[in-house]
Amino acid sequence: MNDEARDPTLDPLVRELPASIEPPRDLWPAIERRLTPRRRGLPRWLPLAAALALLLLGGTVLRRLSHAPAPEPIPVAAVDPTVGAESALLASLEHDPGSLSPGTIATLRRNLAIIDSALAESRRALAADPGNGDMQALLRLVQRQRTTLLQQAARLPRT
Amino acid sequence: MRFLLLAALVGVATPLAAQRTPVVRLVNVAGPLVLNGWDRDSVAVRGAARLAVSGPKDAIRVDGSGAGTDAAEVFVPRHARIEVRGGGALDATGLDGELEVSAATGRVRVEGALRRVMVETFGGGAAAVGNVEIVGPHASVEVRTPDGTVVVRGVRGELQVTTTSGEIFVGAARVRRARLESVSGAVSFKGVVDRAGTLEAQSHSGDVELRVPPDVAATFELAAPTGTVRSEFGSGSGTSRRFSTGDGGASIVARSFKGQVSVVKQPGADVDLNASGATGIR
Repeated sequence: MNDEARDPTLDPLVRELPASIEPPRDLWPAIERRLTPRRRGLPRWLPLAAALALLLLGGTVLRRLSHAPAPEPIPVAAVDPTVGAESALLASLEHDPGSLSPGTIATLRRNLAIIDSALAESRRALAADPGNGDMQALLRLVQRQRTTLLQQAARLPRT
Repeated sequence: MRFLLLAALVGVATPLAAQRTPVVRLVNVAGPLVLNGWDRDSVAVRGAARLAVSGPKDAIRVDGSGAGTDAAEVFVPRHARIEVRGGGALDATGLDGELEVSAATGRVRVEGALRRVMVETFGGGAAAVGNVEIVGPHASVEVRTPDGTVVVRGVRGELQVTTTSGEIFVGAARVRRARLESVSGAVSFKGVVDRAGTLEAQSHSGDVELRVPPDVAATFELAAPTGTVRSEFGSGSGTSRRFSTGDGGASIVARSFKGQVSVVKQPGADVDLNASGATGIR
């Protein structure tokens, strides 16, 4: 471009323009992240999860070692802490098709149904009479039986 | 074809003699098994269709699946600790050490005078396969089974029976500590509880019956929240009763959520009348 060809009306407009312009959105950090090779190895959340698991495991072991008696009276609406573990165990037994014989699974199901019916009955009665120590003891009996049955099934040799 | 294998089981027979309490581990792959105690420090197997011994640290594998109705017969040192895993029906006699039976799917019968008997069965679905019968003055008996009938006769010492839908019959017992639990089955105990001993018998929906000597000195706790309580000891009525007899030394607890709890005076409660064929355990 030479001076003869320059349009004099543009000069004031050009002077009004800023010397530099900041881009409206900084794209570089995103580009830099993409350029940086991904770290191989364990995800960042894994140490946190491992610590949490250790904490839970430690708590369980301590609770078992302490031989603490069951709290009295049992709150009717309380969540049974063994239910989660039992459900997982039951699911693993039922969803592993090559694990137990059909007869064994049938025995397990039949007896779990008996236990669950007794549990429901006990909980209803205890809801009506929460301070009844005999009912609490009988509820604990049925809860113990459920755990024993599932643990026993888990120890069976797999086919 | 029957055959006899004696000290051919070199891997097992050698360490047995060297151990104070030898341990024999048997894996019953299939079929009925008869276990006999004998006065030798060796193991013999007779009648098994197939047999494999894999070394001193491993178990003897007995597979009687091809033996027809004949049971595999295993002879073991009577004072040994015997561990049997899996398999069908089991008959054990002549032992005085320890016996641990796990994952059995058939009927189990143990007769002798062992220091400890532990039986854990898990029936395969047929009605009668889970039956367990333990006979003799064993010092410690523990049974866990989901169903079937459990009969324990003549125990002396510790007793624990846990079943979901099975019935429990204990006769001629003399116990220091006993816990009998069923969810839907009946529980019946006839015997003596030592001074300062404990007996706890519970069922959710089955009846609980205790037969104890008329001169028993014990603290009783009897309860049937939605059932009935009957007792020839103590006085009063109701679905929950607590009372003592004599100096109240032993602790006897019987509970049933909706069955009947009954306590009966039974002279000679720890005498095994059934042994002479005179009567049953009840």
